[in-house]
Amino acid sequence: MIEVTNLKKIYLLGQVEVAALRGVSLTIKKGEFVGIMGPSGSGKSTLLHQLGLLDKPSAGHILIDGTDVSQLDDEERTDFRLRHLGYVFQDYALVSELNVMENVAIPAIMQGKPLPECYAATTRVLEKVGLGKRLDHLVYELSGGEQQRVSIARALVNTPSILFADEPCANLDTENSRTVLELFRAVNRELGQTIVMVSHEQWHTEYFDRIILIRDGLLDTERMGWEGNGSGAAR
Amino acid sequence: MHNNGGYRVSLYLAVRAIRRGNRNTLALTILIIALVIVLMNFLSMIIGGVVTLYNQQMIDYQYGHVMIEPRDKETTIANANALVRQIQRVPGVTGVSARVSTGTTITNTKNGKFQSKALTAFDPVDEQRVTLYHLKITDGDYLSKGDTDQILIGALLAGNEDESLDKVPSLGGVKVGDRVTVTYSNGVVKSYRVKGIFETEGALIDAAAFITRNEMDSVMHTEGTATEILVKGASADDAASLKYAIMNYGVEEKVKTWNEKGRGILGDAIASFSLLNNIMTFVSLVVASVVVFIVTFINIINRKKQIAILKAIGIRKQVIVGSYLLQVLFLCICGVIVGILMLNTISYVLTVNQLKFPMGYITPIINYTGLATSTALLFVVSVISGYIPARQVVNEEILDAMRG
Repeated sequence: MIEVTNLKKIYLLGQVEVAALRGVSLTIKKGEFVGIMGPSGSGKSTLLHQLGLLDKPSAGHILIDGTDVSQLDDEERTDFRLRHLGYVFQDYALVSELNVMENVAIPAIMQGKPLPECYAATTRVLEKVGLGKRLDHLVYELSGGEQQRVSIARALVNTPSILFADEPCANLDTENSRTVLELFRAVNRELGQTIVMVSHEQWHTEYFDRIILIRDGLLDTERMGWEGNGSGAAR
Repeated sequence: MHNNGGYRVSLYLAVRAIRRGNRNTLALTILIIALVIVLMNFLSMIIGGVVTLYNQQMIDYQYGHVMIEPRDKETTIANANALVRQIQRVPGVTGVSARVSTGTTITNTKNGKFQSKALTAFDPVDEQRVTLYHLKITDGDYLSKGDTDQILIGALLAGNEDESLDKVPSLGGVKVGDRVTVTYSNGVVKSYRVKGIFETEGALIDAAAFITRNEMDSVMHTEGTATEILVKGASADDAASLKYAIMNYGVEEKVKTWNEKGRGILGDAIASFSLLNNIMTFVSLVVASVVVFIVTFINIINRKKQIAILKAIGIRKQVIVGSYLLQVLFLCICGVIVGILMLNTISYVLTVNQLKFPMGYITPIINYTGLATSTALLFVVSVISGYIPARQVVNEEILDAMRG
């Protein structure tokens, strides 16, 4: 569960202060598949980066499963990311010298688990994303959609509390995007995986349980995913 | 919070980066490090050969293991016979030769060419137990104890009829059977038949000439005296203990080891060589550190985004830096191994096709202590050169690095 209180993020562009987030408060419950949407430059990716501990907020508090992550130092944040969070990025971000199996196994090995155990977990999760037969392939041998599925498997291998996805379909065609979104929905439904995903594609909303709309660094509205393009209920 | 998973991930990433990275870059970097190792050790390998050859020549022809000289302010050892008998009783002594040297002018009777030389006299039997002249006769014979009108001449002093072939001033082509005239400092002039020519390859040594003690004593009345006494022991390494054993037997003359005698002559040359070697080592280390820095820097800059992702998914900075340092260590280990192989190959080639120096043909000798030191230095500068760019990139904020 994520509880955000009065979250602010101010960037300095030369001498000018730019407020990317201007006091966002929200709650994301365990097992939810939440979409963060909004116009370009609204602050949706900034919000995801703060929630995912990839950046430090200028003010406000973030509680993840009861831990005030705003208080953690750099080392503790890194360890928290490893043990509690998973990430899927827009451009897959796989290590080119590692094959599919090795890319996915890295976070598990980093936890200090025995290698056979890491590889067993890796194989299971790769089978789940439909890449069970491509374990030994190198990254450049995969299509964009397959690379993104490897990235999802890597995010899931340590069974994180929350999976963050930053526009994971931005570089994919509609078919591959649908595969990725189906996969997200499957792990959300079957494993109860909490997923927070940034998107700007309207048709993605059908997959979200709830949508958080951001505009000019502020929470605009929230609505249920099935409400589609209609006006959402205010929080 | 931390566990040993981090070190495993460093190794895991490093092994795969090496295995699946660019082979050409890898091979080129290893080659450069290998050449650095060769550069750092080549000169000292040659110096080692020169020093070893020079030391051996000092022992084999000039000083033995220990040399006894007259006391201060004296030109000869007066009681040489008694002293020789005394030294022969010292445990570990295998040979003693009492020599007498005097200034002379040697003239080639055939062509009139002459050279001013210190003519040395020894007992041929005693000398055989200390030096190796008897094994280096290239023409004619070695001296016999009873020879009185015979002389042994070094190949360089004998020289060539064609002066342009001479390396040092010579008698212009003296051969076995020829006669030379020796003018002694007391005015005696005597003709000698050249009995043998010796050649040791040492420039200083092969410009010498020898007669027997019997002959010298009859001309210069030097019976029972010596200008130097050469002592041979079990080995060159034991020379110092042999020196103290001789001193403990009550010898009051100056007792010096071969090393003490020879230090002054080659010392300056070795010091200059060492300075050159140190400069080469420094330059080589700078080259190695720059190469490793550039290779790591380019490698890591190309993977800036990848590093940011690794940090984002929870891989600690130290682990990522560690993986790059392991790659640097691998490059160094391979480079050092290839460098040592190249050094040994060069050493072998130069042993087969020996380099000619003024003291003779030298066999290169790899100084393994120096090699270990240069290897250690190479590892230190390489690790630092790899660490700096790795640390620099890894310390960037995740989002900044991801945006490139």
